[in-house]
Amino acid sequence: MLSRVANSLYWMGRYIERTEHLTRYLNVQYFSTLDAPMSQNKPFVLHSILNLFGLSNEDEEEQELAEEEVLFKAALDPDNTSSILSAITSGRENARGIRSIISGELWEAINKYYHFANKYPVDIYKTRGLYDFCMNAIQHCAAIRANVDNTLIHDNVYAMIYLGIHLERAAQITRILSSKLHDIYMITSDQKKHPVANYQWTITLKVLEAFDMSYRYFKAAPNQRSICEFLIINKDFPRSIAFNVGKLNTLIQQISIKKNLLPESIEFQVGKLANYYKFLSYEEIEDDLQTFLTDTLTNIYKIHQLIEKEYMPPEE
Amino acid sequence: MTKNEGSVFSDYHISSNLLDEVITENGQVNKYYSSIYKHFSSLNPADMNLLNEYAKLSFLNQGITYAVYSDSNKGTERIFPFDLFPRIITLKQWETIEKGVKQRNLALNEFIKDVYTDQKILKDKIVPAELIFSSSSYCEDMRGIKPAGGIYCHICGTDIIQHNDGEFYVLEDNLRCPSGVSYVLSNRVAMKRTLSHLFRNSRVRTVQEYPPELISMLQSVAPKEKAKPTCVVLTPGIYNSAYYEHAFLAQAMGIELVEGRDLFVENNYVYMRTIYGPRKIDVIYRRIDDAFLDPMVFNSESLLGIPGVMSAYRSGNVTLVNAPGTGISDDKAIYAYVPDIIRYYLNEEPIIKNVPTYLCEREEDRKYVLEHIPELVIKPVDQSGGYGIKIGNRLTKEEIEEMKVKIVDNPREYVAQPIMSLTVHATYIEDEDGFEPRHIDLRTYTLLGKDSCFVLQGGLSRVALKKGSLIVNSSQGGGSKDTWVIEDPE
Repeated sequence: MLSRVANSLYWMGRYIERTEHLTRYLNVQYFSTLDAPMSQNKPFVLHSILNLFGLSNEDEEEQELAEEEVLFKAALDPDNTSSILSAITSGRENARGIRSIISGELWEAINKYYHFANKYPVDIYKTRGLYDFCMNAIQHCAAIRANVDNTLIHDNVYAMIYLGIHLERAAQITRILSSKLHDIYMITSDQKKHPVANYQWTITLKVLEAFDMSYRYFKAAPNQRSICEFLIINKDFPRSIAFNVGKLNTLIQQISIKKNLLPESIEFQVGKLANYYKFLSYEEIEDDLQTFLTDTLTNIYKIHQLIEKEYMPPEE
Repeated sequence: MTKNEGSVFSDYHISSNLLDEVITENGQVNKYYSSIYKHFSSLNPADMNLLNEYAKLSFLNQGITYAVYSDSNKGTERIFPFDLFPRIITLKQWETIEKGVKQRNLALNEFIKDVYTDQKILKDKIVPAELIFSSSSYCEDMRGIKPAGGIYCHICGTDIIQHNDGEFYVLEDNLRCPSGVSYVLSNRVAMKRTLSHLFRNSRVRTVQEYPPELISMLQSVAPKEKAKPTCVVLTPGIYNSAYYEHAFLAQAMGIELVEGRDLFVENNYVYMRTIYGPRKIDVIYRRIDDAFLDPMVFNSESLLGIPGVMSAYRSGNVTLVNAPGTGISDDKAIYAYVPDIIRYYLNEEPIIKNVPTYLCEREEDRKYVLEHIPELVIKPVDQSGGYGIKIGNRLTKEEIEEMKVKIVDNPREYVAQPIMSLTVHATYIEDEDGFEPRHIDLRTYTLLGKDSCFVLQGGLSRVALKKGSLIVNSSQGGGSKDTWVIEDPE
């Protein structure tokens, strides 16, 4: 497989996955304001959205935020490189360069997603279409993944797309947890016990479509401990960090043709990280969760760098 | 009231001074078209429109589009207009065309070989040497290079017209990167989906052999005997007007579609960057122009090419398809000499005629051209895609004067030909809700490999959709038709 092709497959997977997390965060956060207790008010949520989309700056924190403007910036602003639309466009451009490699069905699913978002009427979106836009976007993502699963050979092409998907998912879970932790910190200094903190953890589960399964697993309302055990350490839940780093490790082994592994090799490094998350306990991270999440993002970025260096080295 | 009342053929206009391939001057339907005509003339405009939209959707869904270059609107994607009424070429006509283009392209290959090696034809003064050395397509770096199998122009696109005298003429040779073959294959698919029953009554020759013939030709010209040489298609990238075709051909042959940045040269070998490291390449079917091929030799600004590829080519470690510098033989001034070139190398008479051509560089010819512009077509010698062609009787007085100045200033740049009356063909015109005659030509595709020569049966019938227009290129508002080579009906 050409390195350029690997690069496009990987980024196609990453961008599509990214759009889904951004969309869910936007959707759940926005609608959580409608029946929220106490300080869970609109400006607070808008700041939280800007924060996850990487759009907040200090000046704005002081000002009143215009709701429509924030919603537009996050989803449909073509000039904002971190908007949902920009990510979809990048995903589609990557797919266009490898049309001869992927199935026509997969290409058409991605193309349709792009045309859906690109043509979505901005006025309707800003006033009453947010839910409709988000739900459709999530369904498009599901259709794309179904085509990846069911219309491609599960060879290196498939593995490269899923390297992108799992890496992006691990990163987004970490960022969402970190963003929520930041929100809780803004509300209360006692992060673990405050009832508002538990409300925030419920939102986090909903953002990651993990609420129902968390109840089935713990049979109790979420708290910081259960959140960490479910979304960080659980090895069977597909939206936990350990699950996704584990998948990255499996995929890299599948692609690998090396016989002897050196300690600096991608196989060795990612294997080590996968085992770290696999055998992690809550007690190790509870005292400084924010630092743990920051370190995790650094680890994920390191895996990204290893992938680039190994499979898609820059031209000399 | 005629029986065609309300049919899409009710207002078909029969032209007295043009040769219509479907309907003769006195309204008779050509016998080869009887069942096809019967089918279409039974349709009313609404049925036809539905059928047409169905075919268009088939193209849109597959993403079969091309980009048009203009200053205001870069890289706009459009569907190549496709006409559902097929063009028929009888087996007897086809046999002549096939023999003719084989003869012509084999002779042109010998000519290119000679020009870049012994230059006998120049020494014998059959073709004036200054015409070659002044050609913008002449490539000094090709001197002395002997490519694998002795083939220079592996893929040849020969444009053929039928004049109103009923004879076929070669209008142009395209020996650089002839395009359009993917439309031949996609048109056939769309046609089978839309009008499958018409195929049952006619014995139509297949076009599906093209991709396997193409890959086996590419393998035959690998630099060294190898069981499985690595062949790739080189594209300028997704913004190129023919990107769809590049991706289509790579997929149909099951080989990699690469861009310049995927390749590099080391120790005079060409490699592609793969996830498992470099992999050596034997044959590059390149769909980028000579000028962009190697920034170390040609255009140093090119980001599309591969630095050092010419050196690898010169060392015989990689084959370029087509070879650089083949453009000398599709120079429109050289075109005038092709009949002599055929006689010189093959000792045969040309099977398909040339259109008489005046070279503005020859004083006598120039004099004639300057006096007779309204009766002539003026063509720049080194353009393709129909760009820069001027039809004399469509020009205003001022435009004629401008043309004269250009010719006098740069006579080598222009040739002129009598305005040929291309045949017309029944073509569905959306805006008119019915069929009308439109001018057509035929692009044939010839593959020259080591000891092999293949011509795709039929080819691309291109139709000028603008009323009265003689220019069929897609970039100039042309469309296409499925082309059927059929055996005589019993």
